[in-house]
Amino acid sequence: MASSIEAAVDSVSLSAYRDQQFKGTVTEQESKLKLTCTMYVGNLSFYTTESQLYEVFSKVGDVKRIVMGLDRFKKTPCGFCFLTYDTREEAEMCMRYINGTKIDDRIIRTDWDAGFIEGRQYGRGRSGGQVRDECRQDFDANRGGFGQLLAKGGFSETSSLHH
Amino acid sequence: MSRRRYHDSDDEYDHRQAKRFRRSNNEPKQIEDRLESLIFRVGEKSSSSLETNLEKLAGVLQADIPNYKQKILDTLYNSVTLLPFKVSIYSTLIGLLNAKNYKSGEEFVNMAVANLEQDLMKGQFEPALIKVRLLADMVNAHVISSTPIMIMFSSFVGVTKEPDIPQARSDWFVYAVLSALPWVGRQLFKEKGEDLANLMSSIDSYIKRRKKPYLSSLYTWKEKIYPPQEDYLDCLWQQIKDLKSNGWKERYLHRPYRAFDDILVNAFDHTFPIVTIPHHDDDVIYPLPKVTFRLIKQEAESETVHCVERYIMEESIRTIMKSMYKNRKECASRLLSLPSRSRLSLYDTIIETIFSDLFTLPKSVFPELFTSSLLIELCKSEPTVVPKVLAEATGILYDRVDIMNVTCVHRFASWFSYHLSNFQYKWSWNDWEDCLNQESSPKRRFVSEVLEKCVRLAYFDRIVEIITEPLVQLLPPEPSPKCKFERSDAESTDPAVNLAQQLFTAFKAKKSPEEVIEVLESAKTSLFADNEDEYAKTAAEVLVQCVLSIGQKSISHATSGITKFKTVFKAIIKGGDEQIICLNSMFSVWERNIQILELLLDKMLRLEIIEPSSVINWLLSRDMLGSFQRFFVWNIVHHCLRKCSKRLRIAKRELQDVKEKFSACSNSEDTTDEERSKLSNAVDNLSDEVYNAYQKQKEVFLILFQRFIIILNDHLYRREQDQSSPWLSFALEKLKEVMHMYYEEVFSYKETLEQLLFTSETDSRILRVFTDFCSLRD
Repeated sequence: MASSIEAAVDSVSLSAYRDQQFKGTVTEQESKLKLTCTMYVGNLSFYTTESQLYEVFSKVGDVKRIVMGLDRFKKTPCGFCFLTYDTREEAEMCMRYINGTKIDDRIIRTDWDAGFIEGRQYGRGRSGGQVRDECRQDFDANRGGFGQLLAKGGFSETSSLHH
Repeated sequence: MSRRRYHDSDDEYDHRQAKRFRRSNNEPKQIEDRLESLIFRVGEKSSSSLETNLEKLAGVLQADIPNYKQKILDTLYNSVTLLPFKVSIYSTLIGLLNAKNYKSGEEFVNMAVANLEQDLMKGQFEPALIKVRLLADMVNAHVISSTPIMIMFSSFVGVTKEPDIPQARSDWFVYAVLSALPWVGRQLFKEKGEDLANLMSSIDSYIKRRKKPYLSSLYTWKEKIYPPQEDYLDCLWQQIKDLKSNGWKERYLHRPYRAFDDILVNAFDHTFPIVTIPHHDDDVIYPLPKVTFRLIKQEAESETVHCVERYIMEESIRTIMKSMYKNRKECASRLLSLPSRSRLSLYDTIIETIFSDLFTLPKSVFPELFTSSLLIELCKSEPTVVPKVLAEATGILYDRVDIMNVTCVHRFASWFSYHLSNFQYKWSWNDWEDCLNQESSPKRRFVSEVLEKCVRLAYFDRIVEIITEPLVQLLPPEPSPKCKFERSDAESTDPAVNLAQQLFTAFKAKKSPEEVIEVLESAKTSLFADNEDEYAKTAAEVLVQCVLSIGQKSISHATSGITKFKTVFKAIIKGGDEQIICLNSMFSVWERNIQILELLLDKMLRLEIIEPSSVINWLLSRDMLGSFQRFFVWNIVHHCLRKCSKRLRIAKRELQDVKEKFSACSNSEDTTDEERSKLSNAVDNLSDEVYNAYQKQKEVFLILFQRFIIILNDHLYRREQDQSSPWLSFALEKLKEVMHMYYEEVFSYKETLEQLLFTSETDSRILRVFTDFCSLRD
């Protein structure tokens, strides 16, 4: 079946993003992404709690585990999480129906993840949070105000990593 | 020739790409992909008219038929089955193709008929309906003559005369005919007037003799309202009579084949042999009956309830939702581009139909979150209209909560709170203050449930801020834990307090689970003088209290505590009694934050520290009667039941997979004996697992129904005089809800239930719920 037909009738598909720190080949990564029950959830408010996430994400299935993304230094939530469902079907429902809706008034983004590995819960930005919060130029009260670099008064190289 | 015309013309199909396609590559694969995309997209938004596009595409297809016939026919067929709301567009296209190439038309018809027969064999009734409609519509495009369609319809209606079949079977065949008549009725009337009249009178006599004992268990509203709730087939029958009285003309469908009448009329139309209808088989599950749902008062309601356009419009909406439910954005945009050229408002009808499917009993038609996310999408796409219509509908639903089926009230609360969470919790909250005047009314319970869910989706202070002051009293208390034991250095003679201190000290010293077990074991002698009974009870309570106490900071803390000490829990919580103690302790800590309680319970179930059957026993015990009407009890009940069903489903699927692997390798010479015996062992193990999961599930259901009957009998015994208490009707509706939500499972235990629980000695009111339920499949 043509991919155009598939895409029109089903919004579940892999996005263009690939975790650059994945250990393995691109093919391995893709085949993992096609079977995984783990999701990456992004654009969360720093103040959104685990309970709220359970409440929303349990609406499409049983959530086995949530790992909150933490600031590497402060160990406080920094706006993302990993979340694992019991089955692939439940994760697909999450991609179809929760991706792009709001939690705490923010449009959240969900994406497939090849599986949580200890260490990945920490922000990869220089200041400890997510990279995207390093170079952000707007003021976002729910994600720590201005971007870290802007707040510190300087820009350096940016990267496209989001974890 | 025609291909050149296509390339040179200034058409909608991506011009540049088409040129590139001609210039560089004529690889068959690329041509096939191109054809597929063209066929699939015909009728989508375009700058030129549908007719022009159809004509062009037909030209392209005719030119490519000699080389790509199978591909073209398959794609046409896939497109119309995946996008059935474009059925008339495709029947026109097939008509145009057939006019030039008789053979391809014939092959297409045969393919559709063969697939219809297969659907019927497999009991796939939804897809079968689409094929019946497609065949019927092809009469309009002169692909099929009216004779075979009339024969097919008559044979379908003939099913009503079969002896000893469930009504659901004959209902489906009659429904299939009636639902195709808006498309083909006019043509049949012109060409087969007499046969059509006979068909209508056979259906009439069938409609009159149908029995509908199931109606009351499917009603959303428990009292009579206007417009009334009707049996779906009765309603459709009235609408088809309306069609007939208008000379079989309807005013809703767009029929592109009309523009090509001069070409199509000369085409050779096909016939097909009589469609094989498989005999009735008890294993086949026919679709359950339904009732209509009307909410928003449309203009001239009395005229529109039974007008055929209403059916066609609702059916168009449903067809789009059924084929597009996996892509909410596409679905929303297609719904909003439906025509509204009749007396009915498109927006009102969309919202009403979505609610109708949400409130369908026993089960919603779609996953709850599809409905929610679709409504969010619709609000975002048409922000000036849809939110208003939706708010109006919500207002009407709220006004009727007192007469609403309890299951539907929950669905309503769950949808509404989630919807609000996407729109800043903005609502005219003061409209709902009237619920405060009615102590323990369904309305009050509903508003409390909505507020509690909002708190869970956001946080306590936010909801306090947004709602009106009088409603604050309905909020649950600010969620905080209540631990029985705290760490302290004070000496205590109470063995429980003493044990708690020992555990806290062990936790602080980061002792391993084995060491914690030792602490507990030695306390048995030192604190409880080896009184097994006393020790078992106290140890269970203290352990749960202490682990929850050190994990009170967050869900992660609590769950990792439970996971870490899993072996300790398993050593202490051995049987059903200890499990009940464990549940009571968890409840006493987190009574004020039910959400955390639910999550921790789930963790305990996952680690198999407690069993679903114990949870059910606990929730429906006399201790917990005070919470019987609170929604969390039912949340947890359903969670346990779902878990059992899921466990069974997964085990079955795994077994199926391994069985397939096994039979594949049995036929292959490459596999070694070792591999074969490995797989054969796996099959045995999984078979056991399926059996155990089934037994466990059955046990849980039996316990649940048994507890229900005990609680209900207690109540009836105590309140002999007061037969119509709200409590009783709530409990009976809950019983009904459980049967409804798991109707497949419950049906499979029907005989056991009849023998053990719902016997002639059961109170008639309780028994009635069961017998009504059973009538759904008679």
